[in-house]
Amino acid sequence: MNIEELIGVTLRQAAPLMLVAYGGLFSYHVGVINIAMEAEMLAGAFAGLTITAWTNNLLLGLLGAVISAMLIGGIFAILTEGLRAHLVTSALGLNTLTTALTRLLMWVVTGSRGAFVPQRLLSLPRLQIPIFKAVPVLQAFSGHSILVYGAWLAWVFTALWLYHTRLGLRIRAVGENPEAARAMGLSIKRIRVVAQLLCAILCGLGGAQLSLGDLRLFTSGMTAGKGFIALAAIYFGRGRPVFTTLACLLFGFFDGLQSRLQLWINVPPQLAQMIPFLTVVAVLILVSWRDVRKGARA
Amino acid sequence: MGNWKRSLISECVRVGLLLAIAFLITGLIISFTGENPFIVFKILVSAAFGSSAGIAETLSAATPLIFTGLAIAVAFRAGLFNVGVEGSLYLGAFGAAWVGFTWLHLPGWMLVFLALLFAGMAGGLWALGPGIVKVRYNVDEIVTTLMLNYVAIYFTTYLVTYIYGVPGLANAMSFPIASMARLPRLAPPSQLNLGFVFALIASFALWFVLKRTAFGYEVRMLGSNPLCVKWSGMPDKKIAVKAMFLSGFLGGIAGAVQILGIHYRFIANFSPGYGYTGIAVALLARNNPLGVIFSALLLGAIYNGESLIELMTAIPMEVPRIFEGIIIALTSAELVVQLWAWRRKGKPRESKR
Repeated sequence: MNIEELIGVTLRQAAPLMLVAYGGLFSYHVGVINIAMEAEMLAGAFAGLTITAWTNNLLLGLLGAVISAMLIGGIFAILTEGLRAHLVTSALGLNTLTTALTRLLMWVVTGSRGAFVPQRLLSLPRLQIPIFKAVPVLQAFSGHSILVYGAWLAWVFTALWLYHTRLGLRIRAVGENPEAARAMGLSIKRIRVVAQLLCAILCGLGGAQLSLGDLRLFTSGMTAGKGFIALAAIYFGRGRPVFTTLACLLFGFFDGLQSRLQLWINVPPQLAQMIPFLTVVAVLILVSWRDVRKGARA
Repeated sequence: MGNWKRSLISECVRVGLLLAIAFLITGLIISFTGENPFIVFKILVSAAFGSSAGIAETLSAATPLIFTGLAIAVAFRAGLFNVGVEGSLYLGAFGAAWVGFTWLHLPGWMLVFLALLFAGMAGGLWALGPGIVKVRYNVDEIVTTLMLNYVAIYFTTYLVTYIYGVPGLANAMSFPIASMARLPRLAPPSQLNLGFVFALIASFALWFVLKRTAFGYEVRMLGSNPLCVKWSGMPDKKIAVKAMFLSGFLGGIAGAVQILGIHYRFIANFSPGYGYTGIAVALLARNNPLGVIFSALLLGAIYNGESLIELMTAIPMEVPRIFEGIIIALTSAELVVQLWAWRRKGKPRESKR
């Protein structure tokens, strides 16, 4: 087992989860269970890759990823805030819709039905860190796509925004006590919509990292539950950025481990693929069990 | 005018508006791909209702959706959101297939009974876990059931790939079930089978249970007013777990009926998402077991036309899914109420959340 390889693969697998999870923090703190993150991520992955392949311009591709994710987020916000639709059902509907829509659009654009693998695709630039490259373990931290580092920046940015700005305070106020926030004269709806759009931006980038930064192709339904895993990472940390990051790294580690396990030893791939999902369930139960026990003692 | 009449009319308006919007958006998307949406819809309708064979196929397509719709409806009634019906369906399907290819010497009726029982137990036990951790440790059932769906699909694929599989096939599948265990076909060229009758019986049975039994009353109370249930001393946690088991049980039967009636063996990844479509079915019917029959027929009709659309136009089989997605996304939206409110006050009502 090669430690550099393991660190590298964990960072790569965790990056899309982190971006999406930090986006989800905005939703979480404004009091919205956002299952539509899966759809936003998928839209970002598709639009990012397609627009980059089409225009040969990475910046436009990333912009397209963000805008398409915001489109989904906007529809979700209209449904849940404007039309008072159920949070979970409307999000599940958007997930179904987006999966089908990206498949249809992929067919319109490429004529293919399973996967879109552009012949010549600009990939996201990889950041080489000269000092790290010479050091044995640290070299694993060099040479990733810029969005992998972007994910860590997004951590700082999200934590600062949520806890040290006026909007962040308002977002948390609306989530914690909507009545009090309303009494303060805040428009709950407007803040919820803003938080959901902020969430969508990061989800779009997370999707773009998946298609543009890592795999450099798009397959139908390629997010395969990553949006849900990111949501579980938020639950794991009870909305605290530090623990959310830890959870993303943990899930990313197991995700990387399962793809490596298949190479190293002869584990049936289906059993290995179960690992990340079982981890999420186990972690959720452990966290809640701890909370219940704490509550019983107090 | 009776109260039920008024509510029936308002339900019809709600569903009609919903379908109109879904058709409109789907039509716009179809025309974007360069096809004529009216031709596509015409194909859809004629495939579903144009001939007696088409109607039989529609009933057949509706069969698993009735079961998954009932499964989700019963959980909803208890205030639980079981997204894991898809997982229960896979385990139930495997359980039924296992009975079918293991006990080859049993008489047919007993095989079918045992297969359905095993399927229901497998599906029910699968849903029991999330139910128990929900009431004991307050773990959100939506997330756990969603995650366990992936586990169930990978696990059953593993079983038929490595243990019970027919070797040398590209698509992993189990051994065939005994021919005695097959459900008889009702209209031979079509795939319509006895499972549809089972589905109708299940709908009426669930309607009766919810409406007329003590357990049904407890479930409805738990869903509409959980605090009242708790304070009046009813065992709220037990009721929730039972409802979850029943939901998974029905999901398991949905899988069994597909295996015993159509595929005659377990095939990895055989479900195109019956468990998720069941959410649309239950929501359209407002969790009414008898309404589920009709909404399952509607979605079954749309899915029935799917392959014909692909055959006769260039569009891949995404149209029904788009339609389904729009319906799921919109069903809980208060379209009529909000339109009315906007007209009156010029702005939407404040959110209650």
